[in-house]
Amino acid sequence: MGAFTQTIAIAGAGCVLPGGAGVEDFWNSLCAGRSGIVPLQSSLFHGNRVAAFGQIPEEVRQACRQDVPRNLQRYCTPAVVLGVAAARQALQEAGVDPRQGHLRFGLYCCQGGYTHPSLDAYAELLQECRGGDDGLDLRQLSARVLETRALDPFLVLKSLSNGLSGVVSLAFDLEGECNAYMQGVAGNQAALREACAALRSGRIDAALVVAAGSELDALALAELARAGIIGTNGARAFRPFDLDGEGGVAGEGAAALLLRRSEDMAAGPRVAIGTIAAQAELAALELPGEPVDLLVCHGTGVPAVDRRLSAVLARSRPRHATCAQPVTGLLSAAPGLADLIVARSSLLRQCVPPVAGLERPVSADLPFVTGAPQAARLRSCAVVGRDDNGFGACYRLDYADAR
Amino acid sequence: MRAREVYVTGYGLVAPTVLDGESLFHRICEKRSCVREHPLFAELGFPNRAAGYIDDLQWQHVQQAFAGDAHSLPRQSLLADFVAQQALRHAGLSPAALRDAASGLFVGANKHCATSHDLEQLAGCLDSHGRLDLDRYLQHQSARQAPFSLRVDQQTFHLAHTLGIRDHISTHSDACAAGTVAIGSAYRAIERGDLDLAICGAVELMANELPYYMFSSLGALCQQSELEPGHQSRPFMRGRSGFVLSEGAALLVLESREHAERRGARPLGRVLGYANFCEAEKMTASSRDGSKYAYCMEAALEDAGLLPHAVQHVNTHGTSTQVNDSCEAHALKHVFERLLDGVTMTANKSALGHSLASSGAIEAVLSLISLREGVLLPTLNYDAADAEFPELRFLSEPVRQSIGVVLSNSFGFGGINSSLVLGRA
Repeated sequence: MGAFTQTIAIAGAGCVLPGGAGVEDFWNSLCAGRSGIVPLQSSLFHGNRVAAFGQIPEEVRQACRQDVPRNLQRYCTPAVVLGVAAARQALQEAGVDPRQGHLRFGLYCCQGGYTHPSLDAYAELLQECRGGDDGLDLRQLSARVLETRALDPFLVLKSLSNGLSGVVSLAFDLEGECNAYMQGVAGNQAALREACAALRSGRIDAALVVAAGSELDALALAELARAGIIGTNGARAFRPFDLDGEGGVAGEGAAALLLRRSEDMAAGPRVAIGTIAAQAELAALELPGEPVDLLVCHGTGVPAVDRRLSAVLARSRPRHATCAQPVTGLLSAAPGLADLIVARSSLLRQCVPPVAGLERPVSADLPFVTGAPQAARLRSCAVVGRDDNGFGACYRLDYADAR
Repeated sequence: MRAREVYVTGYGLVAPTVLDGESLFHRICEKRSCVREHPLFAELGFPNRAAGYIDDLQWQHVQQAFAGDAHSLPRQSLLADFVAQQALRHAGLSPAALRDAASGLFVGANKHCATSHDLEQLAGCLDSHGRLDLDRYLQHQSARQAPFSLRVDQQTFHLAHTLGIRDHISTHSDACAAGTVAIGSAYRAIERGDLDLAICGAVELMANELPYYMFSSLGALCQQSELEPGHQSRPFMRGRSGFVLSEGAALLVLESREHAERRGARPLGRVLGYANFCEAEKMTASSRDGSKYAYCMEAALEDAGLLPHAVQHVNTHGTSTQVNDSCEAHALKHVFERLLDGVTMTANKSALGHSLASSGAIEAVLSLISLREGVLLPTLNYDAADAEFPELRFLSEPVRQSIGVVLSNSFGFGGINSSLVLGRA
């Protein structure tokens, strides 16, 4: 098996994100500054302090469900369903199909999550086993589960941290090298790094990288609130890098990329993934040595933190900067992939989408595009993500027209 | 020809009842199980209380060994810290060594679950319609643990931060294959020249009531509560009826041969080959004829540049579930065919229970000790007279035999298969 030294390019992309089902739809929302963050609604919980969420509309969920074979739906969380839809879009754009059998595929998945189990798994049982003094009769609960089988028998499969890779491989008959990661920025970079390494080694010909997750769960939101990641003053919008920021807003969604060796792709404009760097602390992260045309980055919605972040990110010396989080919210599973989709779309269109709602930047360190999309000559891009535990990752992307 | 050889130069381990790899190895040689009645399961009135669990005395030891405030860390981070420090000492490395080399961290973990206490707290915040009052819950939420104490990648982040890992950080969540996938991924990164030094393995803490509920609801746990806890896991026996839930952690230090030689490190073994595949068959079972497990084992051997006759010993996945053991047995017969007589096998989960992500990492440590000591482990609760696949040579007693190559399998829900080939130093 020969060693490949060629660059790795993005051959296809797909997403189901707040603001857009499909890359085109998502791009249009970014350009229009149309946020997918909406008033938080759930049949399982209510409250005023956490008031907004980057949510996938119900009709989009239903449409995505059509992508999942009926016999697999019992194993799927709502987020996994979104992941299958995103994967299908990426495969379609790249014009490849694992069922055709002439390419060796690899599958690299990432999920997210802060708590386990989710409230919906136990909601009915908790109600049933509550004692008179608001306590919980734990022996009654155990008897209901173990003796009368009150839990969903497939809960353990829905709870798998590799449930996404299992369902995607089954949905597309994808047999091949496979890795499942947790979570967020760190999980996305690990998946992309392994996918690129497998392509370069020649072990595979096509890498499907998929991430999906949702924090539309009371326990997850409570954990994010306790950690100070999301605001608890009833804010209705997420304003990273803005002096009027009131903390983060959580979101959900899925994104997928289909990667190939550049030499295996047809001629045409393409975006290649260059260096990938990661560090436990963003401040220590290696950023591109040369100035980049575009920076796609993450903020927190906490002005003082975003000011410090701006100073760190400015080391990449970008000519333009943008941030998609006011549209999506904070994504636990697909933050890196979503940003790579933004970066790729920008490079292919030679256009930078604005930061939705940004009116009073926390500092002048970063040249954020505001208001309307801005046409620009874009050849290089840095995508810098920051996890809510401080972890940072940086990708350099390069645009080339190989016609 | 392989680009770079990959050495194992250290390991650390905590498993039910033991605080290091050698103690575990000798315990299994003495045919003493690590599976006991779990006091929590007894308190909750479970019909079957068998589990492998890290007990209070062990946790006390782990906490005391931590240099900082042990209560500021979630349990998985504390355990990861203890096991990583043990592995680094074993390898003769200072923690700072990882800051000075091209280094990586590959940690398997699947879930860190809530407890009954958390459910009680929730129940107290339900309104009269059974909906959670989130504002009230936020107000009364327990502060007994640090935020994100159940987040799956917390132990990875803690180690990456404290050890100053430079080049690769990943949390592998490939269900029961995660530990093996983490080791295999580290091996590949060193072999291709991306890294010189890596810490890899898994940390899993799932021996509590909520994972028990989930696995029991699926019918995957051992049903034979009439048996003593230590006798319930019976891999490859006709009467097997499921696995026993367990927990633990194991981390290995892998190095390029050049890096190890440069610092005069003594290799404990080598990683020779690895393969991992998703099989697109079913979420909970493989192909009944074992062909997909066999494909994975053969690919790992091919990666090692070896033929099946080079393998003298197999550390099986051997969960003690009807379907998994049957698939694996058929796969082993397919891979080794007429060579089966020359291959001994072991199934460590009969002694340990199934620690999910950690099982592959713990079994890799046990395989490395077998390679180094020339002692093959017995499979507890195995009786050839009542075995379903008597042609597979599982040992009932420890056997002293020098071996050069071990194949170690891990297969997970979600259809993820992985095999490692380990060699003597």
